[in-house]
This record gives sequence, structure tokens and C-alpha cells, in this order.
Amino acid sequence: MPHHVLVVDDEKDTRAAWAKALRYGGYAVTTAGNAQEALEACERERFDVAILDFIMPKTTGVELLAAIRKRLPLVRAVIVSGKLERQLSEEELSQSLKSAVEADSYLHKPVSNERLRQVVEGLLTQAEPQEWSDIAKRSLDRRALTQSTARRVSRSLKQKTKSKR
Amino acid sequence: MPEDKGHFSFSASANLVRLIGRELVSTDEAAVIELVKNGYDAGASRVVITVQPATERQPAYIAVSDDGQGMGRADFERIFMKAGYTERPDQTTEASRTPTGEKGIGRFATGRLGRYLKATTRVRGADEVLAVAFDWAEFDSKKKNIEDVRIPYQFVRSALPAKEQGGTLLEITGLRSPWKRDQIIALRTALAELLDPTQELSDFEIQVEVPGSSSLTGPVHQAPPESADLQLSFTVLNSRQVKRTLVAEPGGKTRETVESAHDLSRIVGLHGRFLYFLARPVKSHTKGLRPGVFVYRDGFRVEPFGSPGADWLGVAERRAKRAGHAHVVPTRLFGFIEISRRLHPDLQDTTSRQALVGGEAAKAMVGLALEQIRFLEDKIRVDVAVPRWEAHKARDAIELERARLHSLGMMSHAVAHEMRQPMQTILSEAGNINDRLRQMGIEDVEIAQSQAAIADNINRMDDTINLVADLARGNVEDVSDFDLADLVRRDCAFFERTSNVELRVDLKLPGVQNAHASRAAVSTVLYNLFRNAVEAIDAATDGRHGVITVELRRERETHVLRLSDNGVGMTPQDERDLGRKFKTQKTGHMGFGLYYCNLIVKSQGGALSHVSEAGVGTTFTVKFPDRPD
Repeated sequence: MPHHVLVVDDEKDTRAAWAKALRYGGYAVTTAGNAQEALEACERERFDVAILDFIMPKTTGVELLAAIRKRLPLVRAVIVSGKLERQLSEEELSQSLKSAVEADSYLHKPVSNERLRQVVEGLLTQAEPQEWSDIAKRSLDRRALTQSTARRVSRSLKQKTKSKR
Repeated sequence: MPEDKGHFSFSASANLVRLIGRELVSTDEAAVIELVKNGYDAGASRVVITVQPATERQPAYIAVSDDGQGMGRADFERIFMKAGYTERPDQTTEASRTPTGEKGIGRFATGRLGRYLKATTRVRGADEVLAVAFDWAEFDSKKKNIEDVRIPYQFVRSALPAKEQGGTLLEITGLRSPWKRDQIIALRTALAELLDPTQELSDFEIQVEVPGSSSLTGPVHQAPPESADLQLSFTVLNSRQVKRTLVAEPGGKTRETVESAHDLSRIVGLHGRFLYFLARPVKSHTKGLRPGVFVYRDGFRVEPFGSPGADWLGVAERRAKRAGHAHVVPTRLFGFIEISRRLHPDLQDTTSRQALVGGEAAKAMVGLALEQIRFLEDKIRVDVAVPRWEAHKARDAIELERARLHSLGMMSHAVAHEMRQPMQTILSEAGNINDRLRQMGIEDVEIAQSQAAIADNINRMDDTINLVADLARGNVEDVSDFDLADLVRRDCAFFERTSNVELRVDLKLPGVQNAHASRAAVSTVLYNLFRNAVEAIDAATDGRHGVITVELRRERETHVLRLSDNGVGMTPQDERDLGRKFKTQKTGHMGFGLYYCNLIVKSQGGALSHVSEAGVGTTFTVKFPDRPD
């Protein structure tokens, strides 16, 4: 079963192009044009990765991510923007977004299809980060864990407990 | 017909005394000052003015006592009782002091203060004092002759004035003013201004005593202002020359002898001191003295010079008429001009004590003082006003530029967003076409090249948007850590692409040159210098191939950026014009120009210089510190 990616961008052409590019990469893709559509999709489906445009009408990708996290606490998130300061590198922005809203990555627009797929793939296959245990602790009381992520969290927790002994 | 001839002579009405005393002396304070001067002229070392304000129990009372030489009967008759008589300087050559009185009317000032005067005077060592009682009301009659009014006197034994000291005590009663607190304060102020603060008399003091008030009682003293920014003193050497010393902070001391346009022969020896504060002085510096240009004769003030409203040098008037051009602000100028009765006999008071008698000497004094004020004005303009104006202009220009950049920044922000959306779609869809074709089994080199070209050009557009955003970010005061070599490399590549002139750019850059500086400042200056170079190359009509060389290196904590071109270069005249350009508001492309370059480099604590040769080319060198803050 392919990993499921949610693409949220208010530009129809952009989200259509990204959906196509991700499908060519072998992912299942759902698109949303605004926050409401995105949250409705999260009620219906489970996503492994969410790609969120930073600037959208009435909201930002960061705010939307916080709302999505309430439903899907462990979804991996990529924030994308064509407007944020270029003085800061993608790495720097990723770091600050990670500490602020637990976004996993940041990309400047325009981004090539290869780079987009590479980042999504990286998020799905990356070694479980140390922080997983923290995220899991915060999220254990939340019920909306996907099976795969729940398994990963429990495995990570077990390893932690072992190493402590 | 018998010849009827003889002579007439004037006789004076008693009322003349009233006219002199009450009409000519302008204020009560001025009347007291006349009495103080009389005390000084009598050789007193101390004059005590006792003011008893009117109370319910007793009427107001003023006493002026001095420890001067006092008068015997003959002296009193000769000096005190002869209206309009005074001992001239030549008659008092033995005295150590130059008399301040020159009209012989000061004593009548007591008539202005009150109806009754009791004068008690003792020659030092005399057993008895001479007591004389005046009732000025007896002089009110116009029909009576002045000599018909009898002034009774007698010699009496009295403790005061002290026998071993001698002196004169004038007691005035039947006062015409109530002498409330405000008037006593005004008297103290007038007395304080009476003596030249810059030329303190070591052998004379004035004391005011107000029974029941310790705050109003005490010696009257005026210290000179302190810490003036410009201190100018001048002395008339001869009919044409003035010796002048200026102490300026900063600037030090300068001495010179200058020619005056005026005939100074009547005021040789006149000395003046002008103190000027570049900002409104605080009271602790002015010592409470009012601003103005005061005139002192032999240490005593000449009215009305220096009084509020007596703008005798027209300083306030010029300031009002030419605001912004006349640089002497009247409230910051404290002037003290010293004249002497002996050296400058032509500088006489009018009888009303409200001016100097007009004439060549007075004109010369005014002319000389004006010359000194003009000199101060020039000094202030050159040393203070112009640099301050330049600094304001520079700050305004930077502010203006910052505002422009701010607008441009906001616009570029919106443009960046708007441009990147379609760029994103183009880039993604081009990739999708390629992916789809591959899925369909079509692998075509030309299609792949097209896709790569699309991607390259999208990236180039993105670089351009970033560069404009960088330039427009604008705040040249925002410093950050970055690789200066990389910035110069990228900027030059962009400038080269957009130059529209065929040229080669040679970069001589280190691989990395870390900097803590303002990216916006570097990009802005580089852009402008690049534009200049391109224009210089474009202006060459001999078909030469344009080359711009950009070098970057680091000298300890200083970054050195050098941009050379082989354009038309500058003639000496061009270079002079360039200097002027630096000083004008001329704006070039995108509103910058070399003028702003210079300002921006300076704002970073750096310097911009150039070397040019007509027909050969120009090199601009920018040096700026690594940490401008």
C-alpha cells in the first residue's frame, strides 16, 4: 500500500502539478485548496506526509499544521513557500519550524519534482529520530495514530527502555 | 536813544531737580544703581543697600551706605549741591579709580525713589558727621528758583558712618514704591548685571540687606558664563587693527590680528569678549546671566546694552529675517564689551542713561562688534552649521533611501510570491511531462534538454527575484554573517547578464571570504559601481572590448573591494564634477548613484575612493570594516 501524501496549496495548478509528480513517484495523493478542505480530508483519511503551502488565504501552513496535528499527531510535514525570507536557508528555516511546530522540513519554491520526491522519501525512510519518543509521549493519549506510525513509536519506546536498563 | 545792553543768564526753576531725578532716571532700580556708582566714585570698597519693604507698622525704607571718602561741608557743597557737576577724570588723576559718573545727576535719583533724603557723611577720622535733610517736594514748584530751596544741615555726633572708616549714608523715606519681593529681586538682578562679570573688581563689593529675608540678603555677584563652545576675545590695537583670539571646542586656540573696515581711532584699547553656546545653554553654565551683548565702562554696566529688547547689534532681527542663514542665535550669545571713560571719552552716555551719545566713536564700537559677530557667524557656519547640515542631509538621504527600499522591498516581496507560483507550476509540469514520457517509454535527449533548459531558466528567474529582494531589503544597517566572495560572485553574474553591453567580467575573488556586514549595503554599492563601469565602457566609441575586473581581498579586519573598468575614464574636470555629485542629491539608476554609494559606504564606517585616467579607465576602491558596529 503506497504512502499517502496530502498536498495543500491554494494555487490549483501548483497542487495539480505536485499531485502528478508525486503519483509518478508512486505515492497516493490527496489535494486540498484550503484549510477546511485539508482538515476534512484528515477526518476521512490517514496521511503519512502533508505538504503545506506557507501562505494561504486566511491561514498559514504552520497554523494548519497545528490543526492537522490534533487529528494526525504523527504526520510528517513539509512547509513550502515562495515568500519567506531567502536570507535564511532551507536548513535554517527547517530547524526553526521544527522547534516551533514540529514541521519536519522546509522548502523554498520553486522546487523541482526530484527534490520534492527526495524530501518526501527521506521523511518516510529516515531513521527514527530521537525525538520520536517525545512526540509519542505527547501523543499516546491521542487515538488517531496510524498503524504504521504507532508501531514505530512503540518500537522506539521499547528500545529506549532497554537502553535505560 | 540811550543804549540798553547788558547780559542775560539762565536761572533754573527748582522743578529742574524733579525733572532730572524723576524723569531722566528710568526706573527705581536704575536710581539705586546711580547711588551705588556714586559710592564707587567716592572710593568705597563696599556699598550696602538696605531695603525695608513696607509693612503695616512701618513704611518702606531704603538706605545706601558706603565706606568711601565721605564729605566735609565744603566737599558737600562743591560736589553734592552743584547740579550737573562731577569730578572729571582729569581732576581725579590721583584717585585709583576712574569715576563712573559723568553727568553729576546721580544724587537726584534719590528723588525718584522717595520724597525724603537724609544724607549723613563723615570724612574719615572726623568727630562729627554732616547730616543733610532733603525734602524733594520742595522742588516741585515751578515758580521757585532752584537756589531758593533751603536744604538744612548740621554736624552731629553719630555712630554711623564709622569714624575710623568714614563714608556716606543715604536714607530715603517716603518711598514711591512699596518695594515688594519682586522689585527687590529685580533690583538684585540689575545690581548683579551692573558689574562686568568677566572683569571682576577686586576692591569693590555690593551687598543687599533685606531685614527679615535671608534669601534676598547677601552680596551681589555675577559670575561669567562657563563652558561656552566659542570664546572670542578682541582688543582694538590702533585705528585699523584688532587683535583677536578664538578658543573653540573643538578647534583649539587661534590668535590673529585683523584689519577692521571701521575707523577705530576713538576706541583704541576697547576690549570685548563674546561667549557663544552652540546649543541652548543650561543655567548652571550661564550662571543665571541673561543673554545679550553688554557694555561696561570701567567695570560698570552701560544701559541699555544687553537688556532684553535692546537688540543693538541687530542679532535677533537678522536671525528673524534670515532664519537658517544667520547662525548666531541671540539666546546663546553672551557679549561683554569693555570701554573706558579715560580712554574713550567720546563714548558718553546720553543724559537719560539709555544710550550712548551717537557719534564716530559709538559707530565704530557698533561696527567693530558687528564685525566680530560676523566672524563668529562664519566660524559657526563653517565649523558647525555646514557639517551639521551635511550630516542631516546624509541622514535624510539614507532615510529617504531606506523608505524607497522599504517600498521596493514590500513590492518585491509580493512580486516574489506572485512570480514563484507560476514558476513552480512551470517547473513541476515540465518535470511531469518528462516523467510521463518516460513512463510511456519515450526517452528523448532533446526533450530532456528542453526540460533542463526550463529548469535552468526557472532557477535563473528565482536568482533574479532573490537578488532584487536582497537589494530591496534595504536596511543597510542590518548586518549578518555571510560569504562576501559568494555574494560578489552572484551579484556580478547577475549584473553581467543584465548589463546589455558586451563586456567581460574578470573576478579575482577568494574561494570564501566570511564577513559580518550588511548584504544590502554591499550589493547596493557593487551594483552602482558596476553600472558606472558599464556606462563608462558603453561610452567608449573606439570599439574596445569592455573588461570589468572585480577584486576582493581582506586586509586584517577590513574588506577591500575594487572594481576597475577600461572605459572612457574621467578627465580632471569629470573628477571634480564627481566630487560635486557626491555632494548633490543626484540620483542615478534605481535611485542610487554614486552619491548614495558614498553615503552607504560611510554609514558602514568605510571609505570610497577612485583613481581614473581619461581614455584609460577608472578604478573604484571600497574599504569597509568587518564589524561596522
